[in-house]
Amino acid sequence: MQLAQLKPTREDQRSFIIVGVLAILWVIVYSNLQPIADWITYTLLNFSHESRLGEALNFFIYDVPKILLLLSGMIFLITLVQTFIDTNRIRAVVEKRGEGVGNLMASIFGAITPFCSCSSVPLFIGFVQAGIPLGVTFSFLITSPIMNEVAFVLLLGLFGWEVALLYLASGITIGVVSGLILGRMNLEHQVEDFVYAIKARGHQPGIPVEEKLSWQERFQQAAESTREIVSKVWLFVIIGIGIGAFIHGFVPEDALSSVMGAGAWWSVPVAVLLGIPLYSNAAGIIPIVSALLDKGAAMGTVLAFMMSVVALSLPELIILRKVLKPRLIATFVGVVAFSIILTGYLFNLII
Amino acid sequence: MLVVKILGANCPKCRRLEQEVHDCLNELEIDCEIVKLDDFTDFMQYGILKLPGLVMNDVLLSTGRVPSRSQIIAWVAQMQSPEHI
Repeated sequence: MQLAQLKPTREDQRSFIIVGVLAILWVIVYSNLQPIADWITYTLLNFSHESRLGEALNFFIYDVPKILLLLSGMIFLITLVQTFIDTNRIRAVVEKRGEGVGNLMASIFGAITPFCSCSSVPLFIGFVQAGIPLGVTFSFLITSPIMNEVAFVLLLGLFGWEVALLYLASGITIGVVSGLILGRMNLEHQVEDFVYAIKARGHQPGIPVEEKLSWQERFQQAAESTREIVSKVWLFVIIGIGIGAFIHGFVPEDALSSVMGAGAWWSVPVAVLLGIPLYSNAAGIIPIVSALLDKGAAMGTVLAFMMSVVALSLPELIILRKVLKPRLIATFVGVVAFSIILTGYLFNLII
Repeated sequence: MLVVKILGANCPKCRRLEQEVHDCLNELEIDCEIVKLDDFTDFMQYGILKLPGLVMNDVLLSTGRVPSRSQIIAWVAQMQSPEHI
């Protein structure tokens, strides 16, 4: 990237000022949410501090705007960073590494690269054609759907940064482990034959390929993506927080510790198997996760459940079927499920 | 004549690009042909990794994002300039 192209123009400066002002407003509102919630519940609505309903209402008035603000702010930041990620360059970097380091890098890049499942086929073919080993390609394809920005932000907001980082670490671990195993199985012949036959035309010389984006365009794109994502999930989030508050109050403590606690060895595989046919978005699954944790389920088991729900989805498998023969699809599902189980145990052990 | 190709599937971003391009070219009232390609052999032909892709007169201009309207208009103007005809 050339620095000259990053130098802000006058339009860029204007958008920097707008973003800056919004950021300051965000910080002011965010840091005053508790006093505002207190004022609304106890002064404006005149609930007493001992009242149960008042407590619940206060919790709701505080939590909903907090999560929505966090979601908008963080998603904006994440999507802004993502405008700098060039998949072609990532492919070029990964191409030079062998297995091992290649798997790790592919997995890390997969975690930060967004793509909708309709892109998994072109990505797969593009990677295979560049001569990237099948296992490394899978590391990329597996980590990407597991790492979901909404899930990351919700975990951050509801459980703190330790859990959010744990989620990130386990997503990358699953990608690396699954990719390494799949790479060792010599499955190249299980890829549909035409994949190797397609010849990419490549870029013709003398023609501008991707134009560099200005800061204004990056901000616009980040704002557009944020609007799109938040408008898709906000309702789930509010309902989820509501359900979470309900479960919090009515299901007895430790109700789940015997079934989903760290002591029950079989709980991790069962959670993963349950998660495979379930297909949900992260926004819908986190409130359940939050409720399960509250009631004594072990962190590793819960994370395993969540990942199996988001990582292995039927629509994605149907799309991948275009390039992978059925046996490889089955192996793929098996290996990913296995690594999720492994990671679940790992985290139950260390926490 | 300007030939615009939109390479994409049925995802929200792909549909948004299609809509945007249609709106832009309608507004500009340019004689052009808009083609929607959704087969992955087409994607591969242009070396696209992320959908949607935008191609004008066989030049790949963007992938994985929906370019701004002003950017699309600038590209159209560039394609209409003498050296591209």
